[in-house]
Amino acid sequence: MFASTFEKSLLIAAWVSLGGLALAQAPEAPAEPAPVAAEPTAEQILDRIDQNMVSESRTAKMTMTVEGKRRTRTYRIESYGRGETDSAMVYLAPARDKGTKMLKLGDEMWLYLRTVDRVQKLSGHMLREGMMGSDISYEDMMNGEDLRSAYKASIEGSETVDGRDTWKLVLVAHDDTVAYPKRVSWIDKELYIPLKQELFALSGMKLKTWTMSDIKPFDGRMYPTRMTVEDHLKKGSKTTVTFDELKFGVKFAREVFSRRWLERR
Amino acid sequence: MTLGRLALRNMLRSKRRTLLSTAAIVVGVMYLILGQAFVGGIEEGIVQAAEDGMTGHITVRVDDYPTTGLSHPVDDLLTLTPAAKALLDDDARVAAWVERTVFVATLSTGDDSLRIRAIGAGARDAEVFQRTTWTVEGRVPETAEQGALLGAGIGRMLGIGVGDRVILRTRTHAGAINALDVAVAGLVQTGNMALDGTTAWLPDALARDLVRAERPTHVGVRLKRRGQAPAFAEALRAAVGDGADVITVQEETAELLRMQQIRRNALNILVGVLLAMSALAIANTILMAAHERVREVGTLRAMGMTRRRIVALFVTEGAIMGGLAGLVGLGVGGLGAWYFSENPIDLGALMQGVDYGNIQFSAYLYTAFDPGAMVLPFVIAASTAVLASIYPALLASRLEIADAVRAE
Repeated sequence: MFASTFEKSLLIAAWVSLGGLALAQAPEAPAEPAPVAAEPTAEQILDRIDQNMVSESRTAKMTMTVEGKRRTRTYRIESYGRGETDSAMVYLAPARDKGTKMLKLGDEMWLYLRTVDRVQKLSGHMLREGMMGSDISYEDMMNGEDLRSAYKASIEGSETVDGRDTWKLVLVAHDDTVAYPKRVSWIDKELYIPLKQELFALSGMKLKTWTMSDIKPFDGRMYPTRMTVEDHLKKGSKTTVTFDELKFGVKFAREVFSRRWLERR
Repeated sequence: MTLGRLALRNMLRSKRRTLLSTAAIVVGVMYLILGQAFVGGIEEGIVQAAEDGMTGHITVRVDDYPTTGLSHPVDDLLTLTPAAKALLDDDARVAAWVERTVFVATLSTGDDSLRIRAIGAGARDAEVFQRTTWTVEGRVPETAEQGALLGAGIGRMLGIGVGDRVILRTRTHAGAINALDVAVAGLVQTGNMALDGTTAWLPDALARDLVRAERPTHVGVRLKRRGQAPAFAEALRAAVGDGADVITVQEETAELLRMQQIRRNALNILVGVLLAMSALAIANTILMAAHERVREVGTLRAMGMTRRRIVALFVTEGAIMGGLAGLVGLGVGGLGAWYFSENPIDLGALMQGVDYGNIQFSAYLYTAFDPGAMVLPFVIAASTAVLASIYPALLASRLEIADAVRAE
């Protein structure tokens, strides 16, 4: 599967890619890439990306900066991922949001708001609501999209992005249930890392552009440590996520993935 | 000389004292009439705002539809059964009914964005959700190309004018994100604060193009009379079957109206205190009059006036004071109630920026002018004055003739 890192908002992407969508069958250490023909197919490219970017268990600390026209907000977040379906995240800063947590176990999701000391199970129409006023729904977070089954991918050529040689991949959704009906991705030919992605609405309007940079080695994997998203419907709005720590194949205390962890102050 | 003329003459002996005593009754009656009229007006405003805004006389929506916050999911759409359609088409009580697609969208100007409620409906929408209080700058769009009609509050908040273009972004019924660049055909001041700051009206085709829904989320029904809603809703509930909720405007506004009852009770307590004070003032006035007229009372008794006639004389004085004051209060209060029913106070400017969620509330404060409702305050005022005069009247009647005529 295509890692979902660049499918959602950066916060969600960071969480989901580092926690929510770790594949159960994925190896703890990066697998030896399968031999690929001189010009791989779109599906083979997606497979190679997953091999590099997913893991059974992982944890990350990241800084998210949301730049708006009027102000800039910075959040510190820690995320955990176990297997294919369980993930958790907690805000470390700012003080106003510190302690706010989200937990996803299987196909259920809970939100703990520290300010009101209340756990809320997200269900029904609430899952379609935008998270923190964004158009990224909780449902998006719950359903790690299997891009191979959700999209028809094709290679549209080669282009240079930030001086790197890339394949330009166009992904078109099979049906209207997928949040972004069309994506265009630029994949680094050498590292098999997506460097840029554009997301489109059903009408064809370009909504967002994602860029990934500052690729560094982590536990033997090459991983982009800086991700930026630009919302084309909001001038001057930009969100950046920087990974400060990233660990793969970590052992978690069992409690992290439980309601008790969610409610623990 | 009749009792009435005698009582009137006695009252006019001390005009200033009589005037001051009756002033409290005038204010009490006026306050009661105006206060009740304003509370009645607010209640009517609440019902009217719901009726002309989101509910109509009756609304049909899918089961478990959220009722708090700006939440209008399109996951489940409404399917009207043939029986429900037949009832809506054929029942003589139904004046009009219309299908609506209501959803939440993000409206972007490029510089700024705002989460809004979007209502997609056809031309018949105005027959159910009446627009008598609407003031439109620009036009109400009829085709998708003409664009959207925005609440004036949205225009103010985001600096949008007629002819500008905005982007509406939403989730389709199936779940995909969709966005369209649309023209602003007009800005509307509906007089309903919850709508003006949060709502856009779209031609049905544009709404369905955005949400990609073949069926509506709501059905609004207008009946010939509002009072028919509970009975018709029962029939409609049986016809729509499971999976849909039928809500009357009375049910939708019941909670808010219960809160108004608290206001009404508080008003009654205040008026009660005011009338008690005026009763004491009247009792004091008549008591003083009785003391000043001890020799006169003795003379009247000596001339053959019975104790009962003496009581009647003083009570008549109280009744005349109460009656006249009640009439003046009724006149002033009634005039005020009529004036504000014709000339409502526009609170729009004061209420801007307040988040009303789904609470429909009129921006106009007006009174419910009901001449029949003014009789009771008048009767209460006159009765209070009569009751207040009984005690001093009894004291005066108990004077002994010999003591009374000797009194200095």
